Amino acid sequence: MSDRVERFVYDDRIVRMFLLVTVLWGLVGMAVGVVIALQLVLPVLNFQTSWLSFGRLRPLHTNAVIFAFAGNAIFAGVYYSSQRLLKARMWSDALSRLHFWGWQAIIVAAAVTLPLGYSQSKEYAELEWPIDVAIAVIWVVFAANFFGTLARRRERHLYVALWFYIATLVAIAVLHIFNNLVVVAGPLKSYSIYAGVQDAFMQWWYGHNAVAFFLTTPFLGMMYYFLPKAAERPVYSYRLSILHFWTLIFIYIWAGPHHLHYTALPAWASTLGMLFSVMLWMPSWGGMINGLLTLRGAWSKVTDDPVLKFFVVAVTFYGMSTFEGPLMSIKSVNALSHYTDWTIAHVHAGALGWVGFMVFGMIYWLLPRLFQTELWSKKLAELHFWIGTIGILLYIVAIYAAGLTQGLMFRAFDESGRLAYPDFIETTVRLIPMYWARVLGGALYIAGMVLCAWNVVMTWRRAPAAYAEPVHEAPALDPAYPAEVLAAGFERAAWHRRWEGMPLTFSIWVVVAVVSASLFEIIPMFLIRSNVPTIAAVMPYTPLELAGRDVYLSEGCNNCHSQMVRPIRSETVRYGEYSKPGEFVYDHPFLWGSRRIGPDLQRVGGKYPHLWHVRHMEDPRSTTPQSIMPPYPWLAKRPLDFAAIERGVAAQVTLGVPYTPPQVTGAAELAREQGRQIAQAIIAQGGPQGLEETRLVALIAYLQRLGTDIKKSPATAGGAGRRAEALPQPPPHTEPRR
Amino acid sequence: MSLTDVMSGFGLQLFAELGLVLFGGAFLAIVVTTFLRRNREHFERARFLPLEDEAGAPLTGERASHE
Repeated sequence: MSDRVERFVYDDRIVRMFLLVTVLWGLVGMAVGVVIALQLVLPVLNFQTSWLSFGRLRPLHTNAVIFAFAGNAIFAGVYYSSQRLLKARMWSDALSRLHFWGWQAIIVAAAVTLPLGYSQSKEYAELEWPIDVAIAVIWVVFAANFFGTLARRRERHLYVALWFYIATLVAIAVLHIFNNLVVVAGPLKSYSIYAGVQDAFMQWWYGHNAVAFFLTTPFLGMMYYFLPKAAERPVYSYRLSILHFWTLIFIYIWAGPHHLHYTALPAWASTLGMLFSVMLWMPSWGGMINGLLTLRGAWSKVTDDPVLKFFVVAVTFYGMSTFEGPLMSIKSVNALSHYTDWTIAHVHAGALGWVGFMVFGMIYWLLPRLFQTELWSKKLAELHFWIGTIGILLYIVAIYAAGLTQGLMFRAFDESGRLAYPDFIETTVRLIPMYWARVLGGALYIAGMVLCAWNVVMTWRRAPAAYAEPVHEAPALDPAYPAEVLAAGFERAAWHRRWEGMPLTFSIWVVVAVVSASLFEIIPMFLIRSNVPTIAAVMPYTPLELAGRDVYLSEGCNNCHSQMVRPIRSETVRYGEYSKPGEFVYDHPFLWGSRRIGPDLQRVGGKYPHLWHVRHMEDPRSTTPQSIMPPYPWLAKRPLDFAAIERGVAAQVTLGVPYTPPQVTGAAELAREQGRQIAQAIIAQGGPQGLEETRLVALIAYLQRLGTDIKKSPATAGGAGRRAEALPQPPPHTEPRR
Repeated sequence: MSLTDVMSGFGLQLFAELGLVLFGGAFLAIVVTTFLRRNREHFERARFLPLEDEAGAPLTGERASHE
């Protein structure tokens, strides 16, 4: 350490900015959550309006609460704690502001494009490519500012919270970039470069690790900083925190495939994901115990400090979620929980309990310090805590019950060996009372959020006209590493201590751990042919079917419908032949879904006549009286964009889909012709006229194709690898096939 | 012959198991290092860093200098 003492001022203005938008976007994101919860019990609240329909609003809710609410909270926490742990102002005020305004612009762009139906459909990665590029750029800005600050620090040792921040920065960059590699097909349209099984693998490699590195590691970093601050005592065990960190880095990244048990994913990947998930349990509990034991001797403070109350419940929910996650990753448990509300309950226990309460605890701790005045109302904060806690419990208990109920109903057989609930709608209707309880729980939680917002605004109003900017001082860091550590060498196991003081080296090793772990799974998945056996009868989609597929993902149908029949008896009896990996080789992106609010659609092709689909989209309750699906009247009115169809087919060729050149150049005409055939069939069945060039007819073409290829012989199908000259003329479906 | 054909012949199904062993070993090395007695003092000091960050400061309520 140098003898030269330096003076510096922390940039708390940027923390205030991030904190205020955290509250704002929290209100928005949670309000959308309550709206979509209401839509499931009162479908009339879809208002027959495209941009208010469940399928489009659900990704808006998830993106808003994850990237806007939690994201801005992360930035507030990181900017506040990093400056103090490093004894340095952020490297660049300009980069801080660019980061702030860039991130808010991204959020606004998401809030506009998702309701308008611009979506890649991949969960938590729905945003289209221009916004993805902006996210990457702004993330680099954040990283540059953070690492610049590390370089200018006045504290040699990097406290463990900073390790978690470093892991977040590097892992999210890797995950975001590789999951969002696409071929562009228009200003707001793209196709994933991965297909089917491989796309599913990449998505859940991303999806699971987005939870790990966006909703877990930064919040753990904040826990290791803000919990000791609030309790006014150091973390219980620093060694345990180190183990906690490396556990997540080494193990978490492998766990993604547990989201795909019993799907067409190869069993080795699924088993590997399960094994690593189970391994996560104990170290995660080590982290939880470390957090709770930090309060040793300070539990009396919890009774009258709302900040500590929020933190204690948050850490408890962290423990609960990190027990439940490994439990759900066990294949036999997952067979029951997957595609049900059990997953939704698990997610919300983590999101509302762990993430939300960590944010609220941090906000209430920061408010007096950032606004340099007392918290406006401690009682209101206490009320927020109790309302929020009751809201979470109401929400998750009801939705756990819903998940178990539907999971058991899905697989129930009667004494004669038939499905006890053969009509899918029976399993949905049974959940409605629990969905109402969820609305109440969600409403209570957001009511607490409103109280928080009110407290923030009132505290802000009491802030001084000009904030004092305290000047701090600390010795400059000696550029040379302390001689005693250098002399210690590897044999004395000082290497980890050296890393801790060498941010660049440390970060590189984190990258190596994350990337190499990923590659250990990704390389076999992509390069071993036996993982995805091809099926000769599987052909590319016709141009109209491809357009219909784009309508399907634009409307967010995958938020409620899966396309994956698992090799489980109750599913093959209910839906038909189980799904094969080779059926999805032309699916850019995959559309397997993760929740069945409605039935699986993998084998829906040919199940109903075209007219049934017309009536169903117009008013789902006309064909299924108790359906909670929104109506889609606009599909029959909005014309297809034939130029976009041509661009889409051309993009598919770039991805390796074997369309012939005439099929590419004639895509629009081929689509028109198939549209005419389907429209005529609809008229013949007694349906309306004039649908031939609408989005509805494209969607019907796609739905009627789903799952039918494996029923054809390769000779009649043309064969996947033969460029399928017969491809554009699928037989018109005039009658139900079964 | 495509890259997939070549890679398929390498028996890379063992790749993931190999990764499990390597990562398990690396993790064990960190566990051992973390709990070595000679590092105790270092970690004990690091434990207190969040509580030290305001120590001795602020000097004044005014902006004296920027970095």
